[in-house]
Parts: sequence; C-alpha cells; structure tokens
Amino acid sequence: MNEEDAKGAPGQQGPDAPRFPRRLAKDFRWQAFFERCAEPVFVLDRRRRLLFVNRAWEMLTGMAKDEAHVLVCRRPRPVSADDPIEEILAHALTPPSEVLRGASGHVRRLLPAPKSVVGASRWWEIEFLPLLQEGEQGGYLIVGRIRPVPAVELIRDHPLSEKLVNLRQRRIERFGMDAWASSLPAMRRLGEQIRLASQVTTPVLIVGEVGSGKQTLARTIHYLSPRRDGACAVLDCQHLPPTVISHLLFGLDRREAGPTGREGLAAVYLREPAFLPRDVQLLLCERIMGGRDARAPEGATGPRIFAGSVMPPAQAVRSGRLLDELACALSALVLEVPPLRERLADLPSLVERLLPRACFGRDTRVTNLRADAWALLRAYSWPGNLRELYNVLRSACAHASGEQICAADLPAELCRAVQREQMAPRTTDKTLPLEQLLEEAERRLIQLALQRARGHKAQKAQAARLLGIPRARLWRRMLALGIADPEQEAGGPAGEDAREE
Amino acid sequence: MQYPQLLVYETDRRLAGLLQRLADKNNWLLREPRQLSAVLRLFDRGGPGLLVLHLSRDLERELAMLEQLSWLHPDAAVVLVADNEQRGLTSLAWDLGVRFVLLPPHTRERLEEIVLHLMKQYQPAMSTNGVGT
Repeated sequence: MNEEDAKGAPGQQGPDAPRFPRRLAKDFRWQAFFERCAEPVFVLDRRRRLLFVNRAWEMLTGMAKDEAHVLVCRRPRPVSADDPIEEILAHALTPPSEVLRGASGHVRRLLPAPKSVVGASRWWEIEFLPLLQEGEQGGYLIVGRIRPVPAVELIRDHPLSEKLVNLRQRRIERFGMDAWASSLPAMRRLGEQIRLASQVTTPVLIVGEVGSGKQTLARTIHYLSPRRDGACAVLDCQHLPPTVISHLLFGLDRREAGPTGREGLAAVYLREPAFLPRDVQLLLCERIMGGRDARAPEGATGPRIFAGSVMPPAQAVRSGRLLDELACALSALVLEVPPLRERLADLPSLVERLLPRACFGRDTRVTNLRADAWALLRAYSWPGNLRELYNVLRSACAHASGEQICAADLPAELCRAVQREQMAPRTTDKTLPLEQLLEEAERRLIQLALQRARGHKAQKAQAARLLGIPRARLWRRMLALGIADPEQEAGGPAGEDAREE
Repeated sequence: MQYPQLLVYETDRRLAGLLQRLADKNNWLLREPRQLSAVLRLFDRGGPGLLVLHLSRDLERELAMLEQLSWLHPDAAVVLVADNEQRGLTSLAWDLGVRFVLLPPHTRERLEEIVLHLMKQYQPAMSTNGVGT
C-alpha cells in the first residue's frame, strides 16, 4: 500500500469515519494499514509513548521496533549531539503543545546525531494529527508522519556551522503557535487565520496596537510556512532611511552600488509601511501585484510581504499616508491582533510564559505572583500591551526578593495608574442626565450670545436675534436658568455706555 | 537624565571612530564594550539603545549573543556590519532580528545615515509608556 492508498482509506469508511479512532483501538487493523506506508509513520499513545512505528520509520532512524517502544516523547528541551540516541529521538518526536490540545500541527526538528540516526539528512519535518474521542481532553492517539528534509536551502551556498544552524532552529522554535494559544473566541479565530496564512503566499497585513505582538505574529506565520528555510527580515519603515529600504527590497540605490543582502530573504515584515515615501509605496505595490502571478517560476517572486500597522488600512488611506493601491495590495489577508486589555483571561498563561524570560540572568528565580500583584495586573489597562507586560515583569523580577512577585515589586507608575483608574468613575457606571446637559448647553449659548451683544443698545434683543428665538422666550429662559440680566446690572439698556461716559 | 546609548562592538575601534562625531553632536552615550557579556549587561542596566555589531572571527559567540539579546531585549535595535556578503550569515542575522545588515562599502555617510535614523526612536522617551525598563 502506498501513501495515496493510505490517504484514501479513511474516506472509504463512509458514515463510520468519525468513529475511526475507537474502532482503530479495538481491532488494530490500522497497524497493517500503516506498516506498508512508504513514509515513516509513528503513533503515540495518550502518555506520549511510542505505540507503533512502521518499517519506513525503522529504516530512517536505524532503531528497531522493539527498542522504539521504550521511548517516551515528552522532551521539549533541545538536545545536543552528546545525548543518547533515545533522547534525541524522544525530542524529535515530541508533539507541540497545540497538538496536545487537539489541533493538528507540524514542526521542523534538527537532529544533532548525524551518523546513526539520519545519515545525510539532519532535518525532519513532522506532521502530527491527534485523533480525538468525544469529550476527550488530552487526545487519544497522535499519529505522526516524518518527512526528512534533504538539505536546508539556507545553508546550501555558504554552509553554516552546526552551532549556527542550531541557533537558527532555536530561534525558530521561539515562534511557535503556543504564544497564540487561547480559549478566547477572538484569539481562536486568530489562530485559525495564522494556520491559513501559513499555507498561502499572499501578503498579510497585521493590524494591532503598539506592543501587541504584530512582528512576532508575522514571524510565527513565516516559520510555519513551507518557505521557512529562507530568512525573515524586519524593516522598520519609520526609522530606516527610505533609500536603504528600497535598496533592500528592489535592489535600487541612488548613490552606491553594492550587495543588497536580500538574496536569502523569503519574507519581509514592513513595520508601518505608511511611513514609506510614495514612490517606494508604488514600487512595492507593483512588486506585490507582480508577485501574485502564479505562472512566475519559483524563486522569481521575491520575498513574501508582511506588513504591520497600528492604524487600520482604511484609516491610513484617509489620513493620506498610505496609498490606496498599496492598502488594497496588502489587504489580501488582514489579521487583527486583540489588545491585551481585551484578553485579560490569558494573563496567567502569558505571565507564565514570560516569567522565565523576564527573570533570566537574575540571582533569584521568580516562579509566580502573589495575589496582590495579580490584582494590580488585572486592574491595569495595558496601553503598551504585551511589550509593556514583559517590561513590567522584567522590572518586577529585578526588585523581587523571593520566588514570588508582590505588589510592591511592580513599577510605581503602574500602581499609580491603577489607583487613578479606580478613583475615576467608570464611564459605564456614570449616569447621563440629559436634562442637565441640555440646560448647561443652553446656559452657555445664552451667555455667549449676551456677551456678543454686549455694547449694543438693546442687548437682550440683539442676543435673541443671534440665538434665533423671540425676545420673550430668551427672557423666560434667562429667568429659568438663573442668568442675570446684564441690562439691569448695568443700570439700563445703555448702562455700560453711560457708565463709561 | 538618561541619554540614549549607542553601543559599538568591534575589535579595531574603526566604526566607533566613524560614529564618535555623530554621537557627540546628538548627546548619545557612546559605549564600546570589549566583552559580549558586557553588551547584555549594558542593555539590562542602561535601557534600550542601538548596538552596532561588527562581525569578527568569533561568529558563533557573537551571533549567540545576538539571539539572546533579541530574546531578552526585543526593543534593542542592532545593526550588523559584515565585511563580506555571506548569504547564510546574512540570512541568519535577519532571522535573529537585526534591524539592518550593513554590507560593504562601509562609508561614514552610509553608517551615519542608518544610525541617525534608528537612534531617533530613542530620543523622545526611553520606553513606550513610561512603565518598565
């Protein structure tokens, strides 16, 4: 049975297809099904032990089936070439966290033991497919398929040392889907959009507030995509000279010739493209439109464009900064990153994720926050979003004396901001007395009209004319609103003039 | 008052010499750490700034530091200066989050233009909202 047969088999089961895992566990016919599959396939049980490996897997790894059954694939920590082969394989076959939560996923792993494990191929791309039972939380079985990557495109021309290749891999693994895992509907939708964006090559526009993680999101999409072997460059359109950007993007330089350094680029993230000059925006627009040509040969399309903006594209166009054409070209896929204040439910998981990084290099290892610190974090509105949260945690870790951060360790500015927010009445709680507001507006208008009519012989009549109402009505409203009669105060219709004389 | 810091890591003081005039003119604190660990410490204590890193023979350690820097200080801007174009290295540098890879010719004008533009973001305020580092 070849791979095509394997793919087609579940579809042949018709209406019984959703019950496939249950039947599969009972009669084990699936073993024969996978055994003859041309690609290396393995199955993990709920404790992530290797339940099954096929013949192709044995040939790829050089490990016999009987030996493989002892492997427990729960090792997210990277391994080194000095580790035993079991540890290296256990790391390579460890499913990412999103797979444990029930979503399918794929990872690329570097195997540091070259000879006994994979021969010339050191990179594996592994697809994980969890088979869930109804009501099952952790996943019942996880089917994995390994695709050895013959050579990494990045290092073909100028080979990097193994340490540097591992360094890149470590960097790539920092941009997994874990950072975007959430139970909130908006974030789950974003997660689906990330998966979609990683499967296509269209430009992606990411809209979100300052510090909400737009650049991280772009890198996540790129490193999940099939073009992940190429580099992803981040170009700050606001703080880099436009000539430098056009030199890198289009190979143009008005003054100097020289290497561009763009040959290995597979993706470019443009931070705030509205700051680019109009001619560069036009060139970029033309390049994006040209890059969409499906008939163009592979490699001739140039790097994929990601753009990040605080402002929605329509607003940027209205403000006159972003060309309409470029906004259209970039908006093939628009992803909105929710601000942190709208995902406070994710705060515990975000803090848990950021804390090891925030206290890195400190003498004391901070593991959690005390209740008073949590209360402050939840009460704060986070205008600087995730970036600000990280800075706050980093500052708090520097001040913390024990394993827990308390409220006193948090920056004073944050505590003051929370106090201000708590003291000020919330807009939602505030009543909106329409009558009072109308009266106040009416009072101000009448006073303004009287002020403008000042010096006129019939001041009130002139004010009534300015307001467009009869004089009697003005008089009645002045009495009702308690506005003093300026003519009486001045001692007559021309009191002021008389006094001045 | 905390001045924006401009860090130059190199072996021959050439780039620092090129940037000295610009730093003086703009009141930047020009620092020339001799050790890679000192670069991380300066970003830890001195707040955000720009690092101009001239790649030398100790590539692995320099790029490992760069990876750590971009992980711990995502706001720190780095300009990588390379003496020749190596596609693998340049690509790796972009992946490690550098703001720009400067390939030859390294003229004073070109270096000053890039550094001046990138340092602008640190001039008005040292953080986005006053909270944090």
